[in-house]
Amino acid sequence: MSTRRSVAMTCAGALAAASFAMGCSSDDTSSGCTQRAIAFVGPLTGQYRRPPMQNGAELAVAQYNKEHPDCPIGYLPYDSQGDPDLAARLAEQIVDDPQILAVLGPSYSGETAAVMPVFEQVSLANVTASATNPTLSQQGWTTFHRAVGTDDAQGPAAAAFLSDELKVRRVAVIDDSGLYGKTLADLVAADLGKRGVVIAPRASLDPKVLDYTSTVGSLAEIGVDAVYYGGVTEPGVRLLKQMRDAGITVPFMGGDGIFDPSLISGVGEGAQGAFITCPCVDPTDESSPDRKAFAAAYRAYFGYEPVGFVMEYFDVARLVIAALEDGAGTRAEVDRWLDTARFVGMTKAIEFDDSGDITAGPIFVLRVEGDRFAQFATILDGRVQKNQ
Amino acid sequence: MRRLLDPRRWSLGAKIGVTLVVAALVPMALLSVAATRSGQDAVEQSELSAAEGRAVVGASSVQQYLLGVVGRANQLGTTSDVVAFLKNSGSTSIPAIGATASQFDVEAVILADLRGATRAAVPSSYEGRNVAGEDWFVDAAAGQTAVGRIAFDPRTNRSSVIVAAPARDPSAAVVGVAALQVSGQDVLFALNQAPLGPGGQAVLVDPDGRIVLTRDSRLLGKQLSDLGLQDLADSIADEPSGTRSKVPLPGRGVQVVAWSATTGGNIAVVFQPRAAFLAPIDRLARTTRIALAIVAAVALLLALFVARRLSKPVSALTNAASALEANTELDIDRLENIARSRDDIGRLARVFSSMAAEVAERERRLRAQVEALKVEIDEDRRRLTVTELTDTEFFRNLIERAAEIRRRARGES
Repeated sequence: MSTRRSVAMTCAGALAAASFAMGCSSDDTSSGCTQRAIAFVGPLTGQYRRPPMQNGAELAVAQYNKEHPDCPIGYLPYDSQGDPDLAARLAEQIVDDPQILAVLGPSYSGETAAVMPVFEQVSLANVTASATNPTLSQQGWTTFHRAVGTDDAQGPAAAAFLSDELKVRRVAVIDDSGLYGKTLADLVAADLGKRGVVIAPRASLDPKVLDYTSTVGSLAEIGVDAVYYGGVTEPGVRLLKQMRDAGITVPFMGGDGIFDPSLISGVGEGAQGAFITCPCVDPTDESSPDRKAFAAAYRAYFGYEPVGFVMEYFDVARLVIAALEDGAGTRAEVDRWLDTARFVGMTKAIEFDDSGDITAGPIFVLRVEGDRFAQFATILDGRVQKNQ
Repeated sequence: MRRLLDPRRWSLGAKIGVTLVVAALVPMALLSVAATRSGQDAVEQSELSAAEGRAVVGASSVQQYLLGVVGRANQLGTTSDVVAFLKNSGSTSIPAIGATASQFDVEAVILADLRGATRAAVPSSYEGRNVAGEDWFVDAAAGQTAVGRIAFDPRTNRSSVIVAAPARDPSAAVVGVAALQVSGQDVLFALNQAPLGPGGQAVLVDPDGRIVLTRDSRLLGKQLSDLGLQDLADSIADEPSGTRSKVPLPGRGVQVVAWSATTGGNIAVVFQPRAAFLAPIDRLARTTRIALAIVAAVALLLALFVARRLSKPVSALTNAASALEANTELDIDRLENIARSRDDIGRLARVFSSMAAEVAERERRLRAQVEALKVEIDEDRRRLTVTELTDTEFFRNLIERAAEIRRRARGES
């Protein structure tokens, strides 16, 4: 009798121990679908709100979720307002949310510098398609990825285009005295010099002055083959307009600082044929079936035309989705997957070097045609390839 | 296998070990479960009040932001060219409301006359719309500023809010309505000013129980009831603020929820995943479980060891006893080894040894007696055999027949 009682006790004990061992994690409501999400960091509101880059990422995730309604991927945009301090605080929130396995963006270089040290601690990978400051990839961050060419690449690309495609021999290189414009113009001038092109004149505009007659006059006197302008839109608009008004019809070229619809609306007819370089493509370009499908899907989803870096972000979002689809289930796995990824996107082939930069970041040359920028050529490793 | 399943047939060591583990560790385990539970409850309570605070901060932040927009709408409604434009039914030129839109950082600007006809708007797609049926228009035309409800467009997955103010001429007479539309993103930004805990999220729910603002596209535009949160939807509709624990949010695990009403009948709702804030306690519980498992294993091993030491002499005694029983050779050496021990088993062994020795002696004596008896018996038996032989009828017949033969031989010859 006593033996039997001890047996009963043993069983009760074993049951208690077993339930104890199994209990406690009752919050797991898994139904065969692991929770995973992609975050986006960039300005969604505030003064730095731009042509909405995040739309490209949102569309890519929405398309995936339409095909996989049983196990959707979360898309969580975090609004940084372009403020690095705010971005750093958001980074803490992102890191705290275990379902977030990768981050798209940040949109700008300043916020990228603010968030990467936080992501780095937890092996959370980012992929930016728009933060182009060259120093970002030199900070030793192992989880940093940039699927776009840097500012450094635009200068040599412009020089290659001017000398190899336009076959110029004498170029005026003008900047707007700003840091971005001056750096870019210097890079172009240096590379043109190496190619034996004469730089004359090398001038800087005062961005506050409205009348550039003297500069324009010297261009007419010297007789240049082309004008390269490094800077932002407003001084560039005045320069180009006054050039055309003075009857100077030589090719005009600039960087992504003037990739802005107000260049076309501000200069008017004279803007036609102007070239710009950008590490980004023209998202309204519908020259291939998949780009046509993208533009159609974009219009259907958002109700307006794609602008800015949306196609780049569509590509990097699909890159990260591919990582998740390929079974990368943790932050570290996604990071490793990205490090060795070879992905052919709509804008370019994406592959990262050890520093996280894209191995071959093409620079695109776009030309003003009518009221839009049409893709004209692709420059990869200093070689110009004209689009058909 | 059967033996393992039937505790009655376990060895002494196993029985002692399991009893030890059960007696000592089960109460410990139960105690630790209870401690974990109460720890979870305490953390949950504090998270609930923290979430409530966050919901209030989010709600007031949204309110503050929209109040700012109301101020801008008021400013626009009292601008002289706007007033003149609305008053003179289109005879003056359209005010530069495009510049107003970018200056105020809003999506759209609408100027409507008192009949609700949109007289000027940016973007132009709003032009010509009649807004007389809109709540915000009715309020503003009646001289009050109004914050419309958050409108969610399921086609574009975007939300927006219209804020309206009466346009008043210098005599304070209402001449029309100036309305500003702000993007839901701006309201969401305000809502997210609530400091959220790990993995938490703030959403805005409209009076119909639909999630109209959230970061998570998987939740956007969903009715709470469609997410299986009918109870929560009812509570939110009934009480202006409150909390709820253990709410399962599909795909995001179990949450604690707090809400607080804000402008326009909308409700700021804060979700905080339990798993995130219970993680430290779960870690502690896991550590305790591992520790208990190790203690159990060690206790079991120790018990087995002790029990084996205990049962070894017993089994030696058992062997000796069965040897005695089977009347085979006794391992006296082993027995004496045990007998040297001074504990109970040693005494038992000594008693057993002397008993065995006595038994052996008695047997020896018995054997000798048997031997002697055997000799006696043999003598008797021989005697008995002769008697038996001579006593038989056959023998007597034989004797008689022999006498007759002898007689016959003598008589006839």
